[in-house]
Amino acid sequence: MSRMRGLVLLVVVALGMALVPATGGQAQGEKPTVAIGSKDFTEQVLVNEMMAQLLEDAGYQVDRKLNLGGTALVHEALVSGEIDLYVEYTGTGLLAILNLEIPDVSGTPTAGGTPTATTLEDTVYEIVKNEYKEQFNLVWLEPLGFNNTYALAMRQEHAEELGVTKISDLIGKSNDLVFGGTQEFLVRPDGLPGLTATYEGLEFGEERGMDPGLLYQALDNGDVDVISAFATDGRIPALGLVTLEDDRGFFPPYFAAPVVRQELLDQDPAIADVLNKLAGQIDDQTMAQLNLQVDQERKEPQDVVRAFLQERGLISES
Amino acid sequence: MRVRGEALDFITYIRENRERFTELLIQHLELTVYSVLLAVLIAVPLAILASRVELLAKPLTWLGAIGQTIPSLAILALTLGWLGIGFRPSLVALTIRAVLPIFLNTYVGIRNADRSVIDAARGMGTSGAQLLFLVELPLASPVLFAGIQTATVQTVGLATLAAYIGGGGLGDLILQGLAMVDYPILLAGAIPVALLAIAAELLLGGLRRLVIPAGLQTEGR
Repeated sequence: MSRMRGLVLLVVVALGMALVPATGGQAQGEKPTVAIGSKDFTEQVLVNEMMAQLLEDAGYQVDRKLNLGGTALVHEALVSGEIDLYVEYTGTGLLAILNLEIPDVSGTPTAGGTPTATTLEDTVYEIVKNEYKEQFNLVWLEPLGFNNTYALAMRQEHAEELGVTKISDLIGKSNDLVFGGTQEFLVRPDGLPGLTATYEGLEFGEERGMDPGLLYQALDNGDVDVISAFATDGRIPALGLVTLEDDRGFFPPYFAAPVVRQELLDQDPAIADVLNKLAGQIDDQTMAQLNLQVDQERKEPQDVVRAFLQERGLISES
Repeated sequence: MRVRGEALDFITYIRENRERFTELLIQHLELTVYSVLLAVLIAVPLAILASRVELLAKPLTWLGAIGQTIPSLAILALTLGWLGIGFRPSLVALTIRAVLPIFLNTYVGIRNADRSVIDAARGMGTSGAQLLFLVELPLASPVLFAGIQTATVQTVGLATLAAYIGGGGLGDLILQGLAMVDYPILLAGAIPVALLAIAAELLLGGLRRLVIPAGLQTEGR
């Protein structure tokens, strides 16, 4: 009896082993399942949810791994193949991942070479595109259109009271101020360490790291005086906050674009076309408005994304 | 996963950032020590009350048990709405967490005190206060102390969560290391926390031997 059971078990296991590679491997003409990641803040969840819904509408299976963590963590997940794509920002790729400097585009392009991009945003995009391909075999698709640069934000009346409109105005006053930032911003080279090096003399009385979701509440409550904010965060106008002008041009452009593993595009090149439907579709105001719908109006990211994509005619009504 | 830096580089990181590390370490110690002290001040009187007023014993124990099942992160989030961000909400959340082990151990210690000793004391005409301070609490002290030990070791670890709400402490380094996938920074937070927990266990173990009456130091630990 038990021998019989053993035999059945053996057959089942053998069958299973024979079947696993057949279903797990990529059969000809079958669409691959795409694993999509995101960092741990609203905008990231939204734009990567857009990628997911576009692909699903085109008939792909999507494995959502949203809200994974900070930049480096999500990037590592992409490099190691645990996810296939996520939306990254050009400036983040340049400074936080590639550890490169912001290029100087003020001079004229060198004569004799190929025609080079002249604006800073194009130059940064070209650099990250080429370096990512070379170093990680990752592909930058077309930018979505908005520039989510870092900004320092304060309560409007507090900024007015101190007479602060630009970051350099904080020098000499910052010792009495409490800075709040994400833990990532406190250590990133294009975060607080680089900022205080560029704006010499800028040193906050206290630095507090916290969850990204709490920053605005903390500033609004007066627990902190200055925060690291995102330019496309709809809560800045909604809560009566102001951003300070980056008068020394420390922050690079942070244009958002999908970054995809080359292996996935090799399997199915049509994926690039599906994702590029969003190219140039979202400007700063639109993104801020979408973020606000989640952060203030408490709508579900999936619903906000579906309504937006349907309104733009990018996915079918269902 | 590819990681930046060698694991042992955390020592270099601490050396190069001594000032910041010391600041975070002190914050971590303050969070732990203050919340355990507050928890003792709350839990011990409550436990004495529960041992005196039988009607209160059950509800208090239940309340404590329910409190213990709420995830620490949720307690942090709840105190946040009331106290904002920073040190104070972290302290309150950690105190709530530390109250139960101390309360339960004190209550059980008093309840399980040798009845014959208490009857003998009563027979000798001791007052209520004398009975409590000279007989019951000393008899309960080994169990009570074990509760404080548990609470302290637990609080050392939980205090890392303060980093989510601007409360500082060594959790800052853990979250920063995690965000940057930078192991030296992560370990510069995680290893000292582990060492602190061990140190707390040993220190309180030593203190226990000093404080507890010699006659009660039967069970070795």
